[in-house]
Amino acid sequence: MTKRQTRVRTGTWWLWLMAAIWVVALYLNFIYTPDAKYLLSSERIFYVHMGSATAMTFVYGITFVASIGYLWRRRLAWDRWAAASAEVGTLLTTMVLVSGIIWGRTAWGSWWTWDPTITTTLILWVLFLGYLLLRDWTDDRERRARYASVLAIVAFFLVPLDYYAVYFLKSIHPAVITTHGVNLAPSMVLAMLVSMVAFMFLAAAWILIRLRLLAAQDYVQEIQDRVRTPLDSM
Amino acid sequence: MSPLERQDLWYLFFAYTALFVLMFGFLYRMFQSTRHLEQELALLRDEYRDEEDVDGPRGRGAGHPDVTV
Amino acid sequence: MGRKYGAILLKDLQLEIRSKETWVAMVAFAFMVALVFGIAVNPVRVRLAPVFPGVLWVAYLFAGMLGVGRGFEQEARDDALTGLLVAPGDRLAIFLAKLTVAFVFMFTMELLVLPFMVVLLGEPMPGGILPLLAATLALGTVGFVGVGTLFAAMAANTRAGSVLLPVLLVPFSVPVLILATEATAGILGHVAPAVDPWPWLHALMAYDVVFLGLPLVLYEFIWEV
Repeated sequence: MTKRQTRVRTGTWWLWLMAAIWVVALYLNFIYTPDAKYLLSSERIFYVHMGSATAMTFVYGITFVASIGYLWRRRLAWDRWAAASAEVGTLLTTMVLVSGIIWGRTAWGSWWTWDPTITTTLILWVLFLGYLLLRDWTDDRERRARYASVLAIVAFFLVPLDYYAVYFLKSIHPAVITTHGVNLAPSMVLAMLVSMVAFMFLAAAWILIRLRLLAAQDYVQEIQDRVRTPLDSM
Repeated sequence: MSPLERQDLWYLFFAYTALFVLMFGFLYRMFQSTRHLEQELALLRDEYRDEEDVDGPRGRGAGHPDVTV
Repeated sequence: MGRKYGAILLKDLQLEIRSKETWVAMVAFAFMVALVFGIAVNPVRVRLAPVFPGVLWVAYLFAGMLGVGRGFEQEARDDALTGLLVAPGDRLAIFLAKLTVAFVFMFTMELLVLPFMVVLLGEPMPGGILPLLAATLALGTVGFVGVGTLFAAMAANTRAGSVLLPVLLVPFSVPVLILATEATAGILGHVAPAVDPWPWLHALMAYDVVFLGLPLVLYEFIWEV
């Protein structure tokens, strides 16, 4: 009898790559870019804001695709992608909100405005806190995956509707990237782009670690289910 | 920008880099424990493989009809 | 399909007529919101008329959250939902029946509470707008109930489902709240710059179409054998 060995991926190079990009991004953010004309140094939080917002968009995109994938293919791997990305997305949304609030205070003088973009982000945050609660409070593994997928898909359709519902309020959120191109100094554009990449890498690293942990968790659950006799569980 | 402000920015840079390194340390440790767990589970998986096929969809199959609501 | 729908509808309405649980709870809750608001906000200092539509819809939506979950909670009690699911006939019938029941409850509650609100909050309600106002109430309710029934079906099978349901539903009632409140304000017609209710009503209709259609596509995934 030959025993096959299950291989565990042990590489950590992607974590170190992420760290390197982050140090570069921080350098560009603080040292390389000049102060903004009116906002002075306070505009440096913009790189954090923009980076986490971009990563958030991608990460929630993963949640949506993975949710459809789960309902279609019914493999728990899809659901793990949805779970990991939703968790990381919620964290990134928190970053977007916190950095936005601080920036709003220095730039506009008020902590909070009921602008469509900001309000929609807040709703998104509440929505995904509810999503994580739903995951946590549904005990059956398969049912949890199903319910979470349904919620994520409905949520995806809600977000643009929310945006347009709030749109009738006066919008004061600055549009940095318009249809006429990017509205920033070149060095700031570089810092912004590197910051975006850094946040994407951070999100990716987070998701990958969470994915592996969730897979381990599911496997432990599977063993536990198997150790119990079928009659017990019926 | 005055040299003093420049210096402040350097301090900020170092402070935030230190913060990042700290958080990265946590991330790295989390990853290490995940890998440790994975390795132990891999051993377990190898032991179980001889008993039955662990891959494939979960669920009790057609032999145990069950209503999920 | 039609018979199953009718049977469940009849059963739920009969149950409600006899027990009066949901109905009384919803009306009492909405009434209490009006009462508490009238006391908390000093009507001498603050003019209540401009905020009347907002208060109205806050009361309706929270009372609706109370009511929309009941339909599945009472089925979960004796695992009666399993019986409904394995009964012959399309499952769409179950979903549609629950949706209709939730709509009927909420809409009746709204009509019953409206006079109280008008009197308590001193709303100078002009006559002749009632048909349009009722249509707005119906549209807002449809939008709320569609996604509400979907989540109620999920919440009935989770731990602390009655806590989870409002958390899930609040983000989804934001568009209803905005659109319906503005439409109501436009219809009542005493806000400083006059609001045309029709764009808001049209947007509300669009919302209703999307959030009635999505649950009808996705309800299948809630119940599986």
